[in-house]
Formats: sequence, C-alpha cells, structure tokens
Amino acid sequence: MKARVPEREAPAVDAGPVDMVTPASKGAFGVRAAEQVGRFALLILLIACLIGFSAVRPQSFGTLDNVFTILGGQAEVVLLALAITIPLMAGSFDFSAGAVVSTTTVALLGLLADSHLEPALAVAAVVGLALLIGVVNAFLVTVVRIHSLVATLGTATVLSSFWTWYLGPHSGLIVIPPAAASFEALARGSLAGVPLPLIYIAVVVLALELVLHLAPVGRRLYVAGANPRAARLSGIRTERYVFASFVAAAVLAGVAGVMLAARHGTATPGDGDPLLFPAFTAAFLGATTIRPGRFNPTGTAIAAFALAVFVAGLIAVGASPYLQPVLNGGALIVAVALSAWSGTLRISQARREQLRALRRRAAA
Amino acid sequence: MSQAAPRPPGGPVRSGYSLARWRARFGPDALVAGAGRYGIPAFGILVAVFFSALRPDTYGTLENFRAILDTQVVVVFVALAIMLPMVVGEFDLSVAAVATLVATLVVGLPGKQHLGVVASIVVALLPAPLIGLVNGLLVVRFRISAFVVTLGTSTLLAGIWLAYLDGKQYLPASIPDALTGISRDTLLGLPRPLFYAAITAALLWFFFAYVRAGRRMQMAGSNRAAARLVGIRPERYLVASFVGSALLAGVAGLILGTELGSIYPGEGLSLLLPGFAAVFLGATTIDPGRFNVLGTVVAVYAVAFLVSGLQQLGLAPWATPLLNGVALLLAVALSTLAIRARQGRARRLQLEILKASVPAEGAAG
Repeated sequence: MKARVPEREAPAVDAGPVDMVTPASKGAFGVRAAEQVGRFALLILLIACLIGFSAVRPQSFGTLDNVFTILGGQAEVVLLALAITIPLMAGSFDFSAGAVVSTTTVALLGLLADSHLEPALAVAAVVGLALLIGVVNAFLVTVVRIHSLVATLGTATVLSSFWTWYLGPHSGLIVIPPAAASFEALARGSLAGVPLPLIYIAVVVLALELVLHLAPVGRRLYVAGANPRAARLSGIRTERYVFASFVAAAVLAGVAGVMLAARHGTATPGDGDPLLFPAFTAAFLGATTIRPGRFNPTGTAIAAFALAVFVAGLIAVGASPYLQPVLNGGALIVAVALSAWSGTLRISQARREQLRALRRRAAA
Repeated sequence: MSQAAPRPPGGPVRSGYSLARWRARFGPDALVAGAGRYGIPAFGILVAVFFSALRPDTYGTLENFRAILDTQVVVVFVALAIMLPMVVGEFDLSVAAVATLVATLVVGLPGKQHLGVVASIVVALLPAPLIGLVNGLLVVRFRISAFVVTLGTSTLLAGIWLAYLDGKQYLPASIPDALTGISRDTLLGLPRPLFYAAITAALLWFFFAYVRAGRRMQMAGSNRAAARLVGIRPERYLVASFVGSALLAGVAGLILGTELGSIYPGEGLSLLLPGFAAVFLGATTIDPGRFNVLGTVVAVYAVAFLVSGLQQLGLAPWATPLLNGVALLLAVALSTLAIRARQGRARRLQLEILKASVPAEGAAG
C-alpha cells in the first residue's frame, strides 16, 4: 500500500524517491502474497472442505443435495449475519436482531393461524413490524443517543415479552395452518435445482455489495462508522446513516424470521435467539476476509457458509455434534487474532522498510 | 478551554466563586441532581412500602423479602461480574457462559466423576479465572475488541457443557448436602448467599473507593491515553478486570448450581440481559455517570421489588422482561439526559467563575 505512492508520483529531481521504490516493492511482494492468501483463506477453506469431505464420504457428503441442505440450513443465520453487518459497518451493534427474528416468526404464524390472513399480506405485515422495530432502535440510538448495545439489548428484552405473552395461550407452539401451507414453498422450493433460500441470499449479498460497496452511500456509511467525527466534519450526517442502518438491519432480520417460519412451519418462544451469536461470529469472521479489516457482506456470507460446511463435514466423518460451538467460537477468536496480528506485522514491516530506505538515502 | 483563563487570585474573586459553589451545592439544580442520584433507591423503597401496604400478608412479610433478596444474589454476582470490565471500558459477554459452565460442573462432578465436596467446588471454579485470563490476554496482546473475544469464548464454552451433559438435562441421583448447603443453608436466620453478596459488594466498593489499584482501574477506564501518560499501565488493569469478572461469574455459577441441584444445558445464559440491565441502571444512581458497585446492587433489588410486587398482584410472567427492558431503556435515556444537563450546568458554572474573576483581575492590575 505504502509503496504505491512513490510509484505513481513522477520521479522527483532528487533520486531519493526512486531509490525507495525498489526495496519497498520487493519487500512488499511477500507481504502482498501473504495478504492475498489471508484474504481468501476462508473461501479456500470452504472449497477445500467441500472437496475434501466429499472425497472421504462420497455417498453421504459428496452429493449436491447434501451440500444444498447444509448451505440452505444456514439461510437464516446468513441473512441475520448480513443484517447485523450493516450497523456494524456504521460502528453500531444490533443485539435485537435475534429477537426480531423470534418476533416475526411468532407474529407471522399468529397472523396465519389465528387471523387467517393471506400469506402474502401476513408476510408484508410482519416485515412492516420489523421495520417499525428498526425505527425504534434507530430512534433510541441516534436521537436519545443511548449506546447501541444497550438500546438494542433493551428492545430485545421488551420484544421477548411479546412472544411469551402471545404464545402463552398456545402452550408455547404455533403450527402453520393447512390453509397456508403453500407459504412454506417460500423456503422449501427451488429454482433450477437451487434451493430458494440460497437464491435469496445471493440476491441480498449482491444488493448489499452494490449499495454498500459501489455506491457513495456505502462509502459514507463506512466513514460514519470508522470515524464519526471526521465524517461529520466532511459533511456526512452520520446520524442519518446510523438510523438507516438499523432500519435496514431490522428489515433483513424480519426476512430471516419469515424464512425460519416457512422452513420450520412452527414458532416457539425465542426461535431466533440462538441465531444471534453465530450471526455475530460470521460477521466478525467475515471482516477478516475479502476486504480484510472491514465488515463486508460477501465476507460475512462466505464465513457463515465455510463454518457450516466445515462443521457438517467433521460431523459426517464422525465428530461429536457438540463440536460445533467449540469450532465456531475457536474460529472466531483465531481468525480475528490472526488478522489483527497480520495488521500489526504489516505496519511494522512498512516501518522497517521506510527506515531502511531513509538510511540508504542518508548514506548516499 | 484553549483560552488562557486568568487564575482567580485571592480577595474579591472568592465571593463570586463561593457564591457559585454555594449554588452548586444547595441550589435548585443541586436538588434535581440529588433526586437523580438517589432516585432509584428511593423508588425501590417506595415500591417495597407500597406493595407491603397493599398486600401485607403476602408481600409485606419478612419471609417474602428474604426470598427476594436470596433469589437475586445470582443476578447481583453476574451484574458485578459484568461491571468490572465495564469500569475499564470493555464489554464482557462471556459472564453468563462462565457462570453456566461452573454451575454445570458443580452439579455434575460429584455424581459423574465421584469427586468430594471440596474437590468439586475447586475443580468447578478452576476454569473461571483461566477463562478470564485468556479473555484478558487476547484483548491486550492481539488488540481484539473484548466484545469479539468474549463472544468467541462464550460460544466455545457452550460446546464444552453440551458435551459434558451430552446435550440433555442432568439430574443427579443424590447430591451431597454439604454442597447444596452452600446456597440453601442459613446463617443467623438469613440465607447464606446474602452474606456472600454483601461481603463481595462491600469489598468491591472499598476497592474502588479507597484502594489505589481500584482508583487506577477507574482511571484506565475513563481515559486510557491519559492513564498511560501518568504512568498507569491500562493493560494490566484490563487483564485483572477480566480475571476478576470471571471469578465473580464463577461464584454466581456456584450459587446457581448448588441452589438448583440439577442442570440443563445453557441454564444460566438468561442471566446476561438482566445483568447488563442492572449494570446500566446502576450507572444512573448513587454515583451517576459511572459504573458503580452500590448502584448496581441497588438497581438489581429495585427492579426485583417491583417485579415481585406486580407478580403478586397477578401480573403475567411475560411482563417481567417487559419491565426489565423498559427500566433499562428509561434509565439509560434519563442518565444520558442527566449527564448532558450536568455538563451544561458545569459549563455555566465555569462561565460564572470566569466572569467573576475577570473584573477582579482588572482591579488587581
């Protein structure tokens, strides 16, 4: 990174800058190669796992059906992880995303089973509900100025009383009514052999990349997250971006809730809660890949899938299913530690090169 | 700030200065601030008195208060465990997981591994400080955010207790009385856990108020760069706070496990939210704007008195989280407003002092 600056500049009268180019770019090659490997490590892990476990267990693991089942089973986690990635980009935590999933599944099946609403109308209603929750979160964070973690912890707690209250008379379980069974196709159907949930994820990732990576809006969101004061000084209204990020996160979490309801066909108290920690794991792990050091949608999705395939493969080979949380937690710590460590290495290497170049110049 | 304010010399300045100070102490603003400071304890006492008058036979009994105080001890320990790293400015999400692991081990070890009472307690508690140390070292050495590290460790720990319990509830055939006695026995007519909580809270309060390390820990939290400049090593206090936090969480787990006598996987994880709520609510009272021990304990009990009273009036169980959540949001919103108001007052006061000192300077010169 550092080496590029003198490269681009026209050679100055002084021979110094030219001198600096050679050692810096030479030294940077190894670092850059390592960086590229690190950047795609999770993707490589994902592909290696797919090939390796398929070779070991060709009948049970190495079928397209199985791979789709594993990936499709992660649909809600990936959607939730993508949801929380947006406020993370803006430097805020959304801890209510799991509760939003639980709320939307209960509300959706309640509307279908108790109010006999049309499935399309019910889905629209619960996504609207999720949006409303997002607005409340955003209001608490940007207007009342409560720390995002605390604010969303609060809304999550309040939401949990909603489904306990609603599911009380149902003895804790709502099942999808036969009249609305067609709605399950939303999650169980497939398009050209690919399960629908995977297509939704692809669409969401693509849309997020377009908006958050390629459009100026996304750049401003990043700046608002990375350095709010600098962002404000350069004319970005940070509150607006944080506000929008919470609303978008809640809507996506609502979509994840709809998916969960459609896939399971039932709603029980706190369905979405166990998804929250894996989603955060995927988001943080994803920030070490593709665009290392930054939360990014593609990285998040890849991280979630890589972990899922890795764990499913190990279980297919005969590992204990209780290994999953251990691997999730371990992978998170190791990946984030490694990326932090490589960041420090990169900085110190750059410093050393700079020092060497300066010494050479002084000697000349 | 950047303006070189003339130092208030003696004589005429003092009158203006002390007037402002007098107003800061006893003026209407100060009364409002005092109401904010003692609002939550006053609220807790009012709630207790109100429900005692309303339900003298069920709520206003010594038995009921003993029960409320006793059942909340685990929450107190979890909240204090969350508070310690918060003082240094870091989130610890692994507190509930550590408590759950210790609770699982203390219930499981006597039956599954045939360990004695003392050995069970020691072996169950042993992982706690180790996890804290790992958390702290990861945060300090690799400069990862504590949020991520503790998210990782708590996910990891879930796998350990799932494997240990084989994913299902464990109900020991018999559990030694000496073990359950830890939380079920009484001392001087009061449940033993109350003494644990009281002693721990008192020690922690003393630590933060009077011990040099405690003061430095607070300093490391309020301004890390400034702390480093005056020769405090914030990293040390950070690691220490994580170890202390995990130890407190371990004690919470010990009390939880011995109280229950049986365990299902993940029992204890639900303590995290009420714990955080108490810590933030506590930061709005006694010493507003700072995470403080007494405030945290007061917050746990104020909410518990209210919830218990409403439940006796026939409040549905689902309303408990509603109350907890609303209390948290209101408390934090109010404390944010209070802090902003206080900053405004401080600025006005400073201006008054400056104004008072300027003519004096002119007279002196």
